[in-house]
Amino acid sequence: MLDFQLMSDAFPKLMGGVGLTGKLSILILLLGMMLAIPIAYARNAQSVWLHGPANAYILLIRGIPSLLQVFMVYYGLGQLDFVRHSALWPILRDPFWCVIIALGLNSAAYTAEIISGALRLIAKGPVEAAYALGLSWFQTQRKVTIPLAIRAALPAYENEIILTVKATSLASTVTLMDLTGVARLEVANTYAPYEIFLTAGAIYFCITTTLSWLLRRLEQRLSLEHMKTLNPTPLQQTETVHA
Amino acid sequence: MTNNALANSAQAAGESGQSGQIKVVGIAKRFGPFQALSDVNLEIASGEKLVICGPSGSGKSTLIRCMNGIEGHDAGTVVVNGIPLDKVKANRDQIRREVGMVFQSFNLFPHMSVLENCLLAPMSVKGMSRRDAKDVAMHFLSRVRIAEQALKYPSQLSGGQQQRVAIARAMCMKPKILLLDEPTSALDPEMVKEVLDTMVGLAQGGMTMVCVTHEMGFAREVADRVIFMDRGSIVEEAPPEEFFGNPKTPRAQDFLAQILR
Ligand SMILES: Nc1ncnc2c1ncn2[C@@H]1O[C@H](COP(=O)(O)OP(=O)(O)OP(=O)(O)O)[C@@H](O)[C@H]1O
Ligand SMILES: [Mg+2]
Repeated sequence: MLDFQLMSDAFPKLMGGVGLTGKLSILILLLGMMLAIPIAYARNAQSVWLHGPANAYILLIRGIPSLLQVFMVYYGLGQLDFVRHSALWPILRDPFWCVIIALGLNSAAYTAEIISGALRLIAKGPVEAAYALGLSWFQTQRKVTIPLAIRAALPAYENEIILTVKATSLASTVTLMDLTGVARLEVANTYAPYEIFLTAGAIYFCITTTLSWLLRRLEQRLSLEHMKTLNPTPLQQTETVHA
Repeated sequence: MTNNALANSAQAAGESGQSGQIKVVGIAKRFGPFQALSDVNLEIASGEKLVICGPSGSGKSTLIRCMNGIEGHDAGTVVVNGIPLDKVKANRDQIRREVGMVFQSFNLFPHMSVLENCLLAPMSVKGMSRRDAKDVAMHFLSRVRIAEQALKYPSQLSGGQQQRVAIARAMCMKPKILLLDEPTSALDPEMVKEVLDTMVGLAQGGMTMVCVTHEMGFAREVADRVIFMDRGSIVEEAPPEEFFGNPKTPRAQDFLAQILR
């Protein structure tokens, strides 16, 4: 039988780890996105010098388990003298930043794959129209290509967000007290792995399903299909802006 | 710095009576082994209404796409509004500001409302304020009789309405030259007339118009000259009455026999 008392006692402690899980997820996704955009453009470039390295990077990251990547950054970098003597050492020996770097680099590869696919999917007509109107390459990317690419990429990116939230549990292997870290500690204290892990799992489940639901709604709001059903108010009253 | 100087001198040239003019001298274009244009020469006067026709694959689209640099040419020169269309980016940008384009498949921005489609270029290319750009946009949307749909999205409009929006969007940049590539051939038959009527209306002004189309009625009513292309070359050119009534070359005769059938 499940010990519900034990579960409800553990619940607030576990919730204490959710903050770190959230912080890690957000920073990993941000770093991943920042790196992914240039990698995605490089991957779609004509030049071998651009798409070669981008493809190699994606292939490499995808071929190695994320846990190993976390270990490589956390244990591996400290072995290198020049890293230990660099100004970045205070950051690089902090497990928090190690996890962000390792999983951020990891997420960058998957996100780049999603974005480059979305960029290739964009119809070339509107892009050509933008050029014909005199927009620069940069303006065209910002106003036409990227907004359309985001719509094309959202379903796949939703998946990447969920995977990243779950991947942050690897942080517990390098001493961090995220949701999984707290759960492991509680199990050690109570010898009740079943109840504790089940509760932690339920919390992860709630986070990921809520996120998924929110993202689906956003996706629907932005979809070009949805625009067919919009019923604009007369022009004089309001002027809606969709960037 | 040199780019700027060039652009300025080019602009000065444009203002000294060459605006609205297109000169195509000996241009060639190949796609891989395929020669899409070979030694095309064409001079279009300011304010002229030119219709280009010819069989599929003859290079009509390629030719007009070379007039605003959406397609680059391999040899020869293109001079628009007195500005050479060459590798100098400032020249190309200057030309694109002054040359509007309407596509067969409309190419509206699907994620923007009709109004935003018309605001984008005046605001980001010309740096107009939103309010000024909106005045201009509403003016041209009224002219194509679609102002009341300004807040709808392209997917909510019929093909004919979308093409009229595309025309208004191009006009919002107040181009001196308008290029139209088969603007009615993707439309259902019942919508062709509304778009042609819009184009006839535009032709009343002093704007130079270059239109790829097989709509003979439009060509007869509006065009000063028709050019007929085949296999990447201009084969025949004549005023519309003459071209349609009495084509000289066998190739043009065959072509007209086919589209009249
Ligand atoms: N980007 C491209 N890559 C390869 N070949 C191309 C490309 N664009 C055009 N072509 C080829 O060049 C030739 C001329 O094309 P173009 O589009 O100018 O013909 P068109 O006269 O406009 O024909 P249509 O009436 O079908 O529009 C065609 O044979 C076409 O297949
Ligand atoms: Mg064509």
